[in-house]
Amino acid sequence: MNFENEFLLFDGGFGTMLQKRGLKTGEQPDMLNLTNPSLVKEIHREYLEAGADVITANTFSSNRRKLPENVTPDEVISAAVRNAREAGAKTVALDISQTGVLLEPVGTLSFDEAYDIFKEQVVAGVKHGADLILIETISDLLEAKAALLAAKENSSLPVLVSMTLGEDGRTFLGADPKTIALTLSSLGADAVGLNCSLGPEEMLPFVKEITEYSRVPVIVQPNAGMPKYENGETVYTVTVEKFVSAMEKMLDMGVTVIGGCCGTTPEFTRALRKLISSRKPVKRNFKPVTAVTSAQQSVILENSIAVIGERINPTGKKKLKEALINSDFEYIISEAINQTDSGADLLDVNAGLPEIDEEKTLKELITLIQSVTSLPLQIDSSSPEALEKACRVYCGKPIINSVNAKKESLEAILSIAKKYGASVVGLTLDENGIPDTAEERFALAEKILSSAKEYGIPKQDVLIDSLVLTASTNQKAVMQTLETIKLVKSRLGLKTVLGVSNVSFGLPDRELVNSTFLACAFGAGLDMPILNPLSQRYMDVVNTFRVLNAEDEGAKKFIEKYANITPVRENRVTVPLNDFESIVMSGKKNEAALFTKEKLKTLSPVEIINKYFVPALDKVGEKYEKGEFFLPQLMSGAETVKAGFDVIKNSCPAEQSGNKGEILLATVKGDIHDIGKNIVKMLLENYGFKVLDLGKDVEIEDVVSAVKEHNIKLVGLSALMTTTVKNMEKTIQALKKETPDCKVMVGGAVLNSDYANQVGADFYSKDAAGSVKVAEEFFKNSY
Amino acid sequence: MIKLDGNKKEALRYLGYFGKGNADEIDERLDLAMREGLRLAAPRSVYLIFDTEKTEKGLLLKNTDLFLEGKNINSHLDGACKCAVMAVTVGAGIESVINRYEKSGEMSKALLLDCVATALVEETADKVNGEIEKIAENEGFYCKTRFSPGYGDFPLETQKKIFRLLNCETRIGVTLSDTCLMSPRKSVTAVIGFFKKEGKE
Repeated sequence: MNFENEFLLFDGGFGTMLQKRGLKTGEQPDMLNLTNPSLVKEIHREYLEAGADVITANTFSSNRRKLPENVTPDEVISAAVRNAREAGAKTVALDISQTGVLLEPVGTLSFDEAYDIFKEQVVAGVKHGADLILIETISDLLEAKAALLAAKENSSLPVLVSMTLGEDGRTFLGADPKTIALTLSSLGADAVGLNCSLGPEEMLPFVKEITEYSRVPVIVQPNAGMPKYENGETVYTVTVEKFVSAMEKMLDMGVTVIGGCCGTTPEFTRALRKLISSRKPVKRNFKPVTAVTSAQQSVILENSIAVIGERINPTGKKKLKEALINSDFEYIISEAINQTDSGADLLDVNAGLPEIDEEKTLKELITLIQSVTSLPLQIDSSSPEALEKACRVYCGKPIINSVNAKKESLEAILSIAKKYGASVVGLTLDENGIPDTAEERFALAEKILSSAKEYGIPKQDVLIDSLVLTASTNQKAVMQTLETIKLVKSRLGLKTVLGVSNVSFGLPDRELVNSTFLACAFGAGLDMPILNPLSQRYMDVVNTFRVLNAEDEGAKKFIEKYANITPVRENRVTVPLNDFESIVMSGKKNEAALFTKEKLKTLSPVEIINKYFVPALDKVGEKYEKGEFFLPQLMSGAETVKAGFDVIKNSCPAEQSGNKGEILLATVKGDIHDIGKNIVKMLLENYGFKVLDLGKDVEIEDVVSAVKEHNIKLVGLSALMTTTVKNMEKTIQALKKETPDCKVMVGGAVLNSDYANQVGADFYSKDAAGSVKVAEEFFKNSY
Repeated sequence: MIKLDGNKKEALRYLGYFGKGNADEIDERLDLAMREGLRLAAPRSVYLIFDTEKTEKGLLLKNTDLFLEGKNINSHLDGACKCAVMAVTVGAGIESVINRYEKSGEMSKALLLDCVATALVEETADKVNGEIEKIAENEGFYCKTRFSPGYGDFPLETQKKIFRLLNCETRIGVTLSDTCLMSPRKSVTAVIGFFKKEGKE
């Protein structure tokens, strides 16, 4: 089916037609396929008579989560497609929309679960003869991706994907039109666009962006205006004339697939039919750009450079290596946040360590890092399996780092890049290693590009890394790298990537060498340096070049940043070394770190914890109990002690840094309120306990198996709602049965000590300070 | 669009401050959190108003399949001629920042913003509640305080029907888990009864 050279007219609102016929609000329209097929057919028939090419089967909510328990998606979809056919539809679209639960991390549904729900609908649609698949009214880009993959992997039907925006031009989860267009069109949708929520007039600017950045035809199905609530009822007030005149402007932008959503009726369809019958499709003002997207935003390389943060990569980084091995995700998250705050445009993520399961870890890291930064990611691995798994759950259009000109690499990596719409970094090396000359490296770049084209990857998605060798060992090779950039840019017109830091290896003042090289590389045409954005020196070069290449218009940002800077000498704070308590009371983290560093010269970690940390925490806790401090102050004190703890952790092996006992924490299944649990965690760690945190909404089996695996003796469970306390009880029952010598403490808003007894807990603590007391008492005899 | 002012006193209350201890010390930090919260909040609302019918199962919202079950809600709404059903949220953006603070160990910031978000969603609910009261006023009714599923014996399960009724997912971007918890968390649903003015003392 071709959506670019011919118009395709979808039908209009279904719910609106039901409302007119007096359907009860809140009843599920999908069930009518079974309970009142003649009504469904009647509505379809009206749209066909009005001139619709496609009838959208009445399957908007026909997924296993939304249908009543005694009805399967297969039954409903079978009846729905049949009803559309019997009404006379030549082309029937299987309609798929949101599952009804948000995906992690905001919601509780995993990517795989969402995929399964959609797959079930797709399989039924194919089985019962749908002609195309319409994925619509979706507000989470990742959910749209799950549905799109489910459709493409389980059918050969055309798939149109349409998302819904608020008045601010973003989805409820913050994705903008460019990001939607770039991500979904790269992922292999046959058409991409918008529907619902807004009227056609409000949609115009957003549709324009979609038409400019989508690599595939554009579909638009607006509401008949914004919903208004009059006398408690939802009404849509845009007239057919106004609707059509706005839609005409969209046709001028090159939209080819149109229809209507809420509030539209066969009158609208008739008018749209009339509109397109006298017109021909217009070519879109499509911009073929190199772009990377995240869940919310896009980095588009149009006369601009972009910095890729290099810090989440264990190669040569001892601390990150340890963090990966110990699953210390907090450190990795802080690296992501620090790089984001330092001005990186995207982040490289690499979990390649022989000691860990890279496939599993990389996938987890991608989801975790996406929950704390809205920057797009570069997924970095030499394992095709790890790359594929990570690309799958990534929300957006990532960069894959990397492929090279070896036959084996091209075959393994390019198909993944194509399937997931990723851009791919091509390294100029092959079976014979890295060539010496720029011309030879250029030849490899050319080879990578032509292979990518064979796989259907557009030129804009191929990025070349011409590889930096260290100046101390390969002095003459450095300029060849820069020369290659020039050749790749001028002859192939490809964008370039370069890991800068390698050049200075083995030389003194590496930052100086790197920043000079970086400036040279920008001069040669480098688009995306991979570097440490925490280095002010590199970022100075980046900020300056953005003035010189006219990216920073009028040098506005540069002036803002540098105009009023007077160079500051670092003032060393003198720490009153005997007063840790007042440092903690006033929440001075830097001083706590300095204090700990100083004390480590003479004392052991355990001594520091017992002599300084614990008394200070006790003091803060006391004030909290008396009501002189309240929670933020307690936490602020805890964070300050933690800054001291981090110093200890960084300077000593884990076993020496004092471990008073290991405690497992979890917020029970079904509950997503875990801030209280996280406070408990921080405080326990501060007192020297090791905490294994399973997170929120934790399955009962997961708690049990973790207790067994780590031989845990004390578990802390939290639940906020009366309803989820039931799951707390079930978790305790399972623990008592499977691991009888493990004790359980509980806490949460609705609990008290009686209630805790009732659910079978061994201990109850009313707040974080209480949990420390329980833990201290519990482990007193064992340590 | 709903315009929020940000009620610091309320946020303080959620932080556990009831007039004891010294709140000035964290005043500055709370100001910062409130400003951040106001910037991040994306308040959205949806509501519908129904005629009611007293049944054995509980108050029925006419032309829907929603019965309000439980003693508490039925005595609260005893004599209501109409009933508004509302849902509001401050959106997912504020929540992802809270999450970011929590994950990076900045618990006090997370806590401050979390309480600010609670204050903001309550303010959103108050504003929408006010809008509904105006409608009631114009039609010659007055309203009693709003009542949410999960309070007293008003079943939390009612959320499922409210969500379908208001189409919360598409209208305001709020979804319901199988255990009837809302995502984004900072969301509120409630019902508000309309009563004839003559009956008011």
